[in-house]
Amino acid sequence: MSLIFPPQTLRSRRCLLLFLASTISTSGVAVALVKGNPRENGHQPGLVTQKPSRSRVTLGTFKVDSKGDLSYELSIAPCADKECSFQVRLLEGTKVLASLDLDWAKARGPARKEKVDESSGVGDPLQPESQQTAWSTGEEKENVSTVGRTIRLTPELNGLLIDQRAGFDHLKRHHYLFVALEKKLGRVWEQEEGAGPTWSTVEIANSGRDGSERILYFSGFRYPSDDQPDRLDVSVYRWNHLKNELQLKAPELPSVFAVIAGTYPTVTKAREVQESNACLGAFWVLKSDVFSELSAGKFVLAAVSYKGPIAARKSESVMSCDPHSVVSVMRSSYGRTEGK
Amino acid sequence: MPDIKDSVGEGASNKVHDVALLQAMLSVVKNAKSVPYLTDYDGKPGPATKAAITAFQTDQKLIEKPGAAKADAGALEKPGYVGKGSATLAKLVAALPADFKEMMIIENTSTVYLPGSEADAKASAASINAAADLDPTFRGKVAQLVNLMYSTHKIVLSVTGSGGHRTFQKQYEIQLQSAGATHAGPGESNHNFGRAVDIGFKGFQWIKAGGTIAVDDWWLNVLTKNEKDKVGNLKAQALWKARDAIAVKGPPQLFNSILPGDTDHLQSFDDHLPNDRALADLLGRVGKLKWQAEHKIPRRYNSDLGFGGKMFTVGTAKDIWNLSATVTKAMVAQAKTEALMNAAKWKGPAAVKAVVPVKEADIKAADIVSIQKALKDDFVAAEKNWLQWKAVP
Repeated sequence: MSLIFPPQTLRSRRCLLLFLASTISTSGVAVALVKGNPRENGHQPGLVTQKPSRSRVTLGTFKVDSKGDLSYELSIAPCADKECSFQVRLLEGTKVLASLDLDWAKARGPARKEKVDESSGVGDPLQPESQQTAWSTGEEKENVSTVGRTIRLTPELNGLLIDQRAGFDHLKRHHYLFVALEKKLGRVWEQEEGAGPTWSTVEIANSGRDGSERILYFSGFRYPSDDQPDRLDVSVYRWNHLKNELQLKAPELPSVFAVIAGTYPTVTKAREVQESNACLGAFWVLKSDVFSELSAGKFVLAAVSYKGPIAARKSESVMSCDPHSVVSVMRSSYGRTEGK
Repeated sequence: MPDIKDSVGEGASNKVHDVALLQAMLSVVKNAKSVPYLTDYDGKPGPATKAAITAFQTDQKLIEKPGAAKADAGALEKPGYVGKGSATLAKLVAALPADFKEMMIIENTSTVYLPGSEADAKASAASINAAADLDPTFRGKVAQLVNLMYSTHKIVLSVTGSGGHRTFQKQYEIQLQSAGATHAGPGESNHNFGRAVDIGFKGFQWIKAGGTIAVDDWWLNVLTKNEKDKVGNLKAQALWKARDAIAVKGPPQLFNSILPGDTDHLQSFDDHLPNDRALADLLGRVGKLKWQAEHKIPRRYNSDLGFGGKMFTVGTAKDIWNLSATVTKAMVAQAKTEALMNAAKWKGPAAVKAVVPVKEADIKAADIVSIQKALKDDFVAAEKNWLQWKAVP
């Protein structure tokens, strides 16, 4: 549960303290082994030096491409304050070529590993990327969870996708994409949640035969009243290698798998059904219009996934939770209702 | 009546609010061919704004038409320029359609809006004042904010549908069903003790491009989504900032959430203060057991299980609320033994020596259930005595 990884045999709390005390007292610095990102093309585990307090804390390094010596480094920058900036640096070997701050949230206190969950904003809406590592800093309302992962924008270029979640009573997420081009580091895409009961997640999806990947950005808003349905937008972004920029894939609508738990004449009726069935808590009350496969003008209780098997599992889990539930899975184009 | 504070156009001061208001007026006023002088407004002066002002002035005979005989210079306006109290502004106001006669804007913002109804503002303040499940001092301050926001900017603020007091059971359900929404369990939310509200702009009417009126929700979602990139978000943030100039920096002296983006949330205390410690403090004061917050992730609580000795980790607020607190036979046996030892200490060493340790086998399943219920009972007592809650450093 700590950023600092002594050898396996030293992982009891007492041994960890002894380990730290010895390394700090002998050299003034502790040696931290940086754990890796499990995605392919992720970083190579390596050693970084770390001062006892407020020195740079490396959360992960990630290859810019499969051949070169360039890498992205996600870290907590050194600072003298209570709050320290999260930072992305572009490295060539150990040489720092560029650095950019993540200015949405700051780190307080030490970083520790935690599991990615539904609140992290990482992965499919119905199946978080649980094999990813989240780094958690700060307690309670000062808590920030940070996940770094690579996305293969082209066969030769990886971007660094960073998802952060902050808060306690209310939770908000923020997503960034950093790209290294010609040894320069750019923050090419950023999404933040605004006021109210918002939610968002970023899924990485295969894009083409060449193995490149695209971003699926799901952003939702759960209206806490009966006069409006919820909103769940799905946007697809992919890298234009000719223009070297991330582009919203438009006007084509993304295709999703939806678990539908009934069609209702009004928002009120849909919410009544949802409130009376705890198994449908994570579902959204959406206009039927957003699904090209459904007739317009009604409201559905729906859960949306990018992958068919995940949607099928969700459907099974609802039926297992409540055998009386009537749910179905369909594949449909998905889009905003404006203009329909 | 719409009014600019300074001047707009060529050589003018061109403050963002003045430019936006004038542009918005030019986007709803139409020429003889029923075409608006401008199609959009952004608060930035430029050639299109100057051309629109000039065209309006020409149509209204406020400036000379190119090639026309020279008129009395004193009777004419400066082309492409609108000053405070100028004839151009007066004509523009007079030409506004009835629905737009009261257009207004807040200084240093670029969203032009229509005033809300005074009756709605009064009703909102009255309903907050009457909310018995909010702390009396706090609700007085929130109502004061609503009144000041209306008297200052003619904007009606109201508490969102789920933004007032929230019961422990509701908090439990939200945490259980919607993990992406909160990490706060029963008794851990700012909303559980009547000292926090989510308050926003529902019904706020603002002028869209093309001179149409948009009606927004509590969170200004329409405004935020209306513009490309971050422009809508920045416009919305400017309005939240105007609210907080009154709520936080003004007389109500309320506190913002420290969470970025959580702009609708206001509360009576500094949000850096931890909720779990405040809950443990209240549990200790109004409950029957002793309590401590571990204040680390996962957020678990310690209790003496009612035996007055060692504190045991009993689980999260959610665990305790749903009667699944971590209570084992070993814990109870140890707690009971310690209690016997403590009692014996008063009688002397012989009594201590005579204490027979309680064995796990002596603890029944019903004892565990009973302690789990006692733990929850303290949470119920905390909810019942919510007015006694106080922020704890």
